[in-house]
Amino acid sequence: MREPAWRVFAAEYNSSKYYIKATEPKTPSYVITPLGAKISRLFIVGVLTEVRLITDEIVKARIADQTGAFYLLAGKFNPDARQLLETVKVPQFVAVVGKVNVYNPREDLMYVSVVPERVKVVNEILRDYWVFDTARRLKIRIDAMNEALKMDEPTVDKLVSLGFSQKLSEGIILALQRYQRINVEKYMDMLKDALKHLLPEYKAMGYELPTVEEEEVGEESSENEDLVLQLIGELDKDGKGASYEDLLEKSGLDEEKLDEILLSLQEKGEIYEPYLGKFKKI
Amino acid sequence: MDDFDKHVEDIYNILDGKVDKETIAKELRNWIVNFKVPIIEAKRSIVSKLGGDPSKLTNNEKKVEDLGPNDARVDIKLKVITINSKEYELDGIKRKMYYGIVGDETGTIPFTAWKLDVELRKGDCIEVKNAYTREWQGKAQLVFGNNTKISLLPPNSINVKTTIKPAKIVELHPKMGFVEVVGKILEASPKEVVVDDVPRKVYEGIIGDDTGEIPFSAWDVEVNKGDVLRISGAYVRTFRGMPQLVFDPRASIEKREEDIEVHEIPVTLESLEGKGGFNVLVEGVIIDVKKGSGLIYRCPECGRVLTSTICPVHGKVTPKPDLRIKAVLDDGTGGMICIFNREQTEKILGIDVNKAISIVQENFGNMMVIREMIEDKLIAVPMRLRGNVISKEKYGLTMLVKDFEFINLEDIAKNAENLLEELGW
Repeated sequence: MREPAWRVFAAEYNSSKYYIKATEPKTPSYVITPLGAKISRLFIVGVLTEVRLITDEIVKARIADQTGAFYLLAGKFNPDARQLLETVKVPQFVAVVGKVNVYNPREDLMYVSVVPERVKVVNEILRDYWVFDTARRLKIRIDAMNEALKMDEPTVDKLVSLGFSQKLSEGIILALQRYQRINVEKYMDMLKDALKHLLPEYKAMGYELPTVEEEEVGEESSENEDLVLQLIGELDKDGKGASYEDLLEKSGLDEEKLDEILLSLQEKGEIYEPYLGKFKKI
Repeated sequence: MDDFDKHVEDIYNILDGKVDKETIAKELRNWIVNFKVPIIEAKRSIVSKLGGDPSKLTNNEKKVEDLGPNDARVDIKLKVITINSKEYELDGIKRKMYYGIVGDETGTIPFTAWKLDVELRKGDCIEVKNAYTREWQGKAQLVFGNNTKISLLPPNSINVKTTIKPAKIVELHPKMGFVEVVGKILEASPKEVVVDDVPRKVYEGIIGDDTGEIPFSAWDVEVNKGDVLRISGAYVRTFRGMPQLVFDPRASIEKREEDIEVHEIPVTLESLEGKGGFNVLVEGVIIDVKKGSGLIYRCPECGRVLTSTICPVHGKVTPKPDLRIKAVLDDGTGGMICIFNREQTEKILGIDVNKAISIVQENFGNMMVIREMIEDKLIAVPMRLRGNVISKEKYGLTMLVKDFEFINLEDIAKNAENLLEELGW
């Protein structure tokens, strides 16, 4: 059977810490999200905010929705998608069908991205439809997770008997085994937020294309930038770049701050990310 | 008969009467009384010594209610309630497997047979040796494997305790056993057929409820278009790759006075996996347009799609142009290939075959142009499709599109507001 193209918001996808790797060729690998979406393929419609050529063969891109951004990684096996990404102007509404991809620098650390199979420029109305479609599916996962959390011993069978589908029930049980604390409340807020953006009154308030974060860099930040830049040089021992977790440890910064600085340095053209989670000075 | 005689009887039966009971009794007494060998060991040794197969002493005879999900060896007497066959390919060889429902006086269970020694038909009573069970969708299923022996028993020698499961039409599956559905007869036409030299009347048609529709065949039961029926004790079989509901006078059939609403809720593609569906409504987004979409040329004799003017069967021909689309619809629960015919493709593209030919000519014979036009129109676009869906092991779901429409995108804000209200924002 064909693997479904899941509709999930970026924030849920990016919180995934669980990967089931294919054991045989031609069988799918899966990312399990905290709400039990067992994803091998995704369908995304969002705003392309950034495209970067990493090498002649690799293009990285970001696609934003209301909750965050998907990281796209198009290589030599995705020539059509890569070509479109290279030629299109940002920002732009795009639809993407892609496969899950993970980068596992350490056992307890995982970054997810998407390898695009197809990319198409679309219009705003198709994005809105995707947001609605994704929201109602998120609601089903929230309902299923809430039911499972109420059970003493949740099983696939019990969830199926409540009317949830086989695939989702299996995903929920996998998520429960793997994720210690699942903050369903957070996803409920995310769901409501996403839906509100579709209402005319919110649209009128100017919610349109999310812009690439261009926050003013304060003095403290620029000091930190110098520190991180220096660390990247020092920690790049094998020529592949300094790893994210080393930077996190040595810089003493929190994740949010470090992400911000790395992004800012990338935008200034000081560093680049040859592999997900690896940073090099230009 | 006391225990001793019973043990003698057991041994006698396994040896097929080749050795008389007196000899067996003498042997057995010798082993037990003089040598104090445990009875089981004694029986084994005697069977072996007298030229029989001691493994036959182990009694694995079970009833359906005793079966768990992982029984390694099962001997059982059963009646075949339903049987379907399915072809598959393994190592390049076409093979046939069978599946359906069997039962005894304690209950029913689905079965799968990788081979059958005897041709089985619905209603046959059989003795099965050395079958096993496994788990299928969380329930036990009986499997007749390579080492399973099946022999026929006299007709009607087994009674079946039936459990009847209430079900919505969208849920119906050939492995369900007996079901109860409440549905409305949407179409019905009578037909006379001869089965085993007996003339019988069968009504064929379509029955629907608020979740979907399914073809039915009603044997010796009169049904009429517009009837709302509660049918308790029907079963589901696979017919032409799609599920079909079957019932006869053994089912309890009750005519309802009230009218019921018939479907219009799209079904999920996941719910169609492994069984297909009749005239189903699905809703999703087109995520791929396959090779072979757009302008194609067919053999005028057989309709094969050709890439040159030579048909592998009919030789040199003048190929006829045609338009079609093979696209993938995905609804987030599964994917399905859907095939749009020429008329539908013309409607989607807004051009006819002749126009398509001239566009290709303008582009120096590049046929991809038309496929790209289709991709432009369809990829990432939400659609609602209706048609028959076939499920095949290797290719998954395929729909021959009967009707299609583009989903109205004007109402998104309204739908979002409704959902927000439901969430109590």
